[in-house]
Amino acid sequence: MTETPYHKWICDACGYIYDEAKGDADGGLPPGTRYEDMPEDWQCPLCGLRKLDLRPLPDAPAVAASPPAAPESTAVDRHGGRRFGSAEHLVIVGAGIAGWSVAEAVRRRDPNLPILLVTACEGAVYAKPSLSTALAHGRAPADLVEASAEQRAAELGIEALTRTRVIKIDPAKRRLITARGGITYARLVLALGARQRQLDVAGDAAAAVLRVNDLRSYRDLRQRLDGDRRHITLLGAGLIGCELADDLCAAGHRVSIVDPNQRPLAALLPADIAELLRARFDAKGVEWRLGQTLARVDHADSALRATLADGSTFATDLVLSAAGLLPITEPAARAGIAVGHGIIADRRLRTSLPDVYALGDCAEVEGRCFSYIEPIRRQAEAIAADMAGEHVPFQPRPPLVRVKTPSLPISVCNGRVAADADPTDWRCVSDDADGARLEHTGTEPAFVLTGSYARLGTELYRSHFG
Amino acid sequence: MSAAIQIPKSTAASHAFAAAQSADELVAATRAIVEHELAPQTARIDTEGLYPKAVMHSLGAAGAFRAHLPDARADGCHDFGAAIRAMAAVSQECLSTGFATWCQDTCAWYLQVGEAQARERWLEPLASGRVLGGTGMSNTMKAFSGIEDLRLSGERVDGGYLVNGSLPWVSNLGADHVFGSLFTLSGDTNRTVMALVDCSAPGFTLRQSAHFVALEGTRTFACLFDNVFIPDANVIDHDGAAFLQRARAGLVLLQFGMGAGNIQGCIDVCRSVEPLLGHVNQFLDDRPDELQQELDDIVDAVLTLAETPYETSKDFFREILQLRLAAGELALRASQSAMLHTGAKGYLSSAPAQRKLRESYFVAIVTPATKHLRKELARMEAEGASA
Repeated sequence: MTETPYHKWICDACGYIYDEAKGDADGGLPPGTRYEDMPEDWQCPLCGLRKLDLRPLPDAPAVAASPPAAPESTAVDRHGGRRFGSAEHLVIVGAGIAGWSVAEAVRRRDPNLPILLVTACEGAVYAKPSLSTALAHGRAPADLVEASAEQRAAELGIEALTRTRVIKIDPAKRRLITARGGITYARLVLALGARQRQLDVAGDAAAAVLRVNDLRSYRDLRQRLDGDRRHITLLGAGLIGCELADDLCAAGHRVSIVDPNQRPLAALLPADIAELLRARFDAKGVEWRLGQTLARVDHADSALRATLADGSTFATDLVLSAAGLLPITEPAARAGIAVGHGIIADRRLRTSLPDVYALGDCAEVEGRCFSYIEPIRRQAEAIAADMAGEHVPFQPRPPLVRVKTPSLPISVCNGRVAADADPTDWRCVSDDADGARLEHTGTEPAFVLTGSYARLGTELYRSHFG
Repeated sequence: MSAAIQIPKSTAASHAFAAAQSADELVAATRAIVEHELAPQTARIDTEGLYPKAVMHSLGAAGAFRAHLPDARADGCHDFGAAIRAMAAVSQECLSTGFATWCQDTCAWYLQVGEAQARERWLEPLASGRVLGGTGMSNTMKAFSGIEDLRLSGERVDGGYLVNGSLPWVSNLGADHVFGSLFTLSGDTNRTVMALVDCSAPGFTLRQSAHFVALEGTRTFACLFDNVFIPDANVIDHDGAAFLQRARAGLVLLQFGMGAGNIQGCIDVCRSVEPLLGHVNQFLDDRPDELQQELDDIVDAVLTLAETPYETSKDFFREILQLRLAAGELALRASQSAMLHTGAKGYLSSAPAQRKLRESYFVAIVTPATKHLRKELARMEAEGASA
C-alpha cells in the first residue's frame, strides 16, 4: 500500500506555510491533517485569512530567469547616501547643444575643474536641426545620436547624471534638489532649453497632438509613422513646421499645414520669397490651411478628424504641432532669478544671481532669445571666458537662419527686419534660375539667399559681422 | 440597504477654524495635540497596542486630515504640503498614530478624486475625523505591479455589487470605520471598481491575528468579505484602473509624512545625546547633520512635487517613487544611527531609539516597499532606455 505524500500549502497573503505533515498545533490540527480535512473556518495564524486563501506551495523559488541590474546603483556614495557635486563643482543643467557646448568650452580652458552635467532626458548628444531632415536622408532616430551621455562625459572628463530633473534650485545653499538626491554647486549654468508652445485644441484626441522638440518626441513621431504613407497635419508654418513638412513629403507622406498667418515663415521672410516657398510646396502636394487654427481633433474610425476654426473638417492620421518655442524659466523664477520672456542674462551670460549663468533657448540677452546653434556656441564660449576671468562677452547679433527645405533652400539674416521690409528696401544682387540674392538697403544688415545662393550665407554673414 | 454608520454632525467651530488656517498654523496646532494628548500615550500605543482614537478625533478637529482636500476646504485649494507636514509632526512622536493619519488622509483623498455621489456623502465626515477610515490598497498596488493577484471580486447586482474575497492587514479599522478598496468585476477581470467599504456591513468580518513588532496601535485587521453588499452610493469610481492613475501620486506623496517624521525623530534622538556623547559620537557615520541634509533634500523635493498631486505623467510618478525609495532607505540609516548614537540608553525597552528602529522598518516595508519600488523603478528605467 502506498501512502499519498503530505503536501505543503502557502498562505497567499502572508507566506505562512501549512505543512500537512506537521499540522497546526495552535489551530488544533494534529500532525497529518490533510488540506481536505482542515475545517472551513480555519484561520491563518499570521494574517487571519482563510483556508481558501491557501494554495499549493510551488517547488521552485519565484525568481526571474535573469534578475535585472539594480537601478540607482551608480548614484550612491560610500554611505549609501545620495549626494552629488561639491563646493568646487561647476554644475550644468541641461544636455542640449547649449549644455554640452558649455562643458566643452570650460573643459578646453580648465582640464581639472570638476564638472557635473545633470539632465532630465537621456542626455544623448545629437544635432537638433537634423531632426528636420532625417526622413529624407533615410536616417533612423538612433542614427542621429553622435554619442551617449556616458560616452561624451567620459571624453570630456566630466560626470553626467541623466534622467534627473532639477525639481528646485536653492541658491542660498547653492544646492539643486532632484529625486535622486541633492547636488552641491559652486557655479551653476542653466541650459534648460525651451518647450513647444501648447495650442489650445479641443476634442477627444487632443492629447494625441504630438509636439516634436527633442530626440525622445521625435522617436515617438517616427514610431507612429510606422513605415506607412500617412496624412499628417502640421500646426504652424514656421521654421520647424516648414522643414518637417518638406521632410515628410520627401518620405512620401501627405501633409496639410494649418497656420493663422496668410503665408509660411511670415515672421522670417519677405512676402515674395514666402510665396515662392509656398508654390514649391504646392508642387509637392502640400495642402495649405492658412489664416486658420485647429479648433478640435477627434478620433474617427481608425484615424482622426480635424476641425478648423471656420468649421471645415478633414481626415488625418497624425497631428503635429510646431507652434513656436517658449523658454523654460520656472525653476529659475522660483529661485528668485530675474526672468522676462526668458531667464535674463547679461553679455557675460550672468543671471541676476551670483555664479549662476544661463544660455541658449532658455536665456534672454538684451531682450532677445538666441535659439540658433551659432549664437549658442558663442554664448558657451562667453561663459567659459567669464569663469576664467577673461573679458570676452557675447555679442548679440541678428541671427543667420538656414531654412532646411530642399524644395527651396533659404538662408536669411535678420529675419525680423526681412519679414517686415518693404519691397523697395531690397537690392536684388542676383535673381536667376539658380535662385535669388537680396540685400536690405537699410541701416541694419539683413539679407535673403535662396536656391544655390543659400550656400553663401555664412560667407556673407561674416562679411557683415566678422 | 443603507450604511449603518451614523455620520456625526459637523461642528461650526471646526469648520470656521479650518477655513482660515495656514499650513504653519495647522502644523502648530498638530504639534500642540502631539505634545499634550499623544506623547503621554506613545509608550502604551507601542507596547499595549492602544489605539489613539481620541487623538485621531482631536487631529481631525484641528484640520489635520483636511488640508489636501479641495472639496473640504473653504478656499477650494489643495495643500498636500500642509497635510504631509502635519502627518510628519505626528510621526516624529509616534509612527502608529502617523500611520493612522496616513490611512485617514488617503481614504479621504480617494473620495476627493472619485465620483461625486460618494464624495458628497463621505468626504466631510472623513476630512473632519468624525468618521475614521483606512485604505485596503496594498494588494491593489502590488497587483498593478504584477506582484500578486487582486484578492477581491464583485458581482453586479441590483443597486450595487456583492463582493467576496479577503484582504490581510488593513489598518485604522473598527466596527464604525470605513475604508477604500478595489475589486475586479467577476466575469470581466479587465474591469475593476473602487469602493468605500463599510465595516458594519452584513457579511463583512474584521479579524485580528498575529502581532507586529511595532505599529500595534493601528487597529490592523484581516478583512473577510462574504457576499458583502456595496451600494452604488458608496462606489468611489466605476473605473478602478483610471481611478488608480489619478489617485496614486497623492497616495504615495502623503506617505512622506510618515517617513519624514520618523527620520526627523531619529535625528532628534541623535542630537539629544550630543552634549553628553558628541566627543565620541563624532567617530560615527551618518551624523545628525548629514542625515538632516539628506532629509531636507527629500522634503524639499517632495513639497515641490506635492504642489501638483493631480499630475499623472510617468516621469512625475517615477520621481515620487525614487524619493519614496530614498525615504525608506534613509529611515533605516537614521534609526540605526539613533541606536548607535544613544548606545545602551537607546537599548532600554523604554527608549525612543529602539521604538524608532522598529518603526523605521515599517517606512521601508509598507506598500510600496523597498523591493517593490526597486522592481517598479527597474521597469521604468528599462522602459525609458528603450523608449
